[in-house]
Amino acid sequence: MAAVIQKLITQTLQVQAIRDQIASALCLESANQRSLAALTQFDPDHWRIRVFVDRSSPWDEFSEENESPIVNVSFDTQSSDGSAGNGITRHKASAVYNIDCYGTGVSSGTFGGHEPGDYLAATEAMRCFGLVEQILMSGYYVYLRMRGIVGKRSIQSVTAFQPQLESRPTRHVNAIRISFAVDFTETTPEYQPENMEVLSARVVRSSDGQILAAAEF
Amino acid sequence: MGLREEAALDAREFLEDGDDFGWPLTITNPDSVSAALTGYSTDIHLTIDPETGQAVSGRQASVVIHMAALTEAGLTLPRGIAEKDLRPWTVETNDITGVKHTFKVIEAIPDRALGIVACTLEEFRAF
Repeated sequence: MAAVIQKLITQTLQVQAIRDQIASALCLESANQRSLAALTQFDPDHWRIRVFVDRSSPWDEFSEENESPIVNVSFDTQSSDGSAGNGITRHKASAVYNIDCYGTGVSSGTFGGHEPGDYLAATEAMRCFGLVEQILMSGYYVYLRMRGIVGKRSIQSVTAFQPQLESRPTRHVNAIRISFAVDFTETTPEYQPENMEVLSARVVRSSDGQILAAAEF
Repeated sequence: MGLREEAALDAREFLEDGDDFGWPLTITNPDSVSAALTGYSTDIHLTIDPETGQAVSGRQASVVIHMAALTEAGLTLPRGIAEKDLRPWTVETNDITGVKHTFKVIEAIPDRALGIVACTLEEFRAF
């Protein structure tokens, strides 16, 4: 059997493009929110998030110099709808992306006491989750700005977890996972049809307007 | 002297021997009373959960000091403090390169047979 796909496959899968689009949207909107906040009395850093794609341990990016919340976007699962699509160049698929929102907290002394680090970490994770949810579920992103590719997007579930060993780390890290479902159309290399049979037809119109056709095989 | 008392004395000797693994540290109570003691100190960064093999955030620090040393310094047993309007128990100690680190006591685990107390620590930024 010989290979029949003669076009080099270089295109990015839509499922990858959607993952990158989610990350781009979060990055851009976070920057825009900080610009809007700068015009008010609010601290722009309250809207700062750092966005990563496909990181397995992004909490390593937390340091004393930079403790702003981290978002990691990764592909989780995909399923296809066998009844939709033409089976030749495109098919309908549903993908779930894990959008993990991480917050960190270090216990700090205050004037009359201290701020516990575990509470700070939970608060930061929740704040990050709130911003991410508001951005992705905004009406502007109903098709993730990929209309024609994306048909629907929704939040399947939200789960809080702690990515740390036991419960006694020196730096607290809390996380909230958004399972984000996207329905989209995935495309494949264009199928080149073969000539099976030559068919020609000559169409004529009669004097009363009736369409007549003569075919030759 | 019974064996138990001897064991407790030996434990203090091991903990406070600077020529062995004894390490200087300063412990401060919520009333800002400090004591310079010697004990065992650890600060390691684990990244793999041994049970699941999953990557985790795992820097852990702890100190072990003798309860008699605390008593002689006029301090009670440390404990973890979560109240925001109280200062926590803190421990200051240098790492092997001489950099000072400040920690908050999360949990104190006393062994009243040997007279030692192990304190689990977390990072702390002083006011």
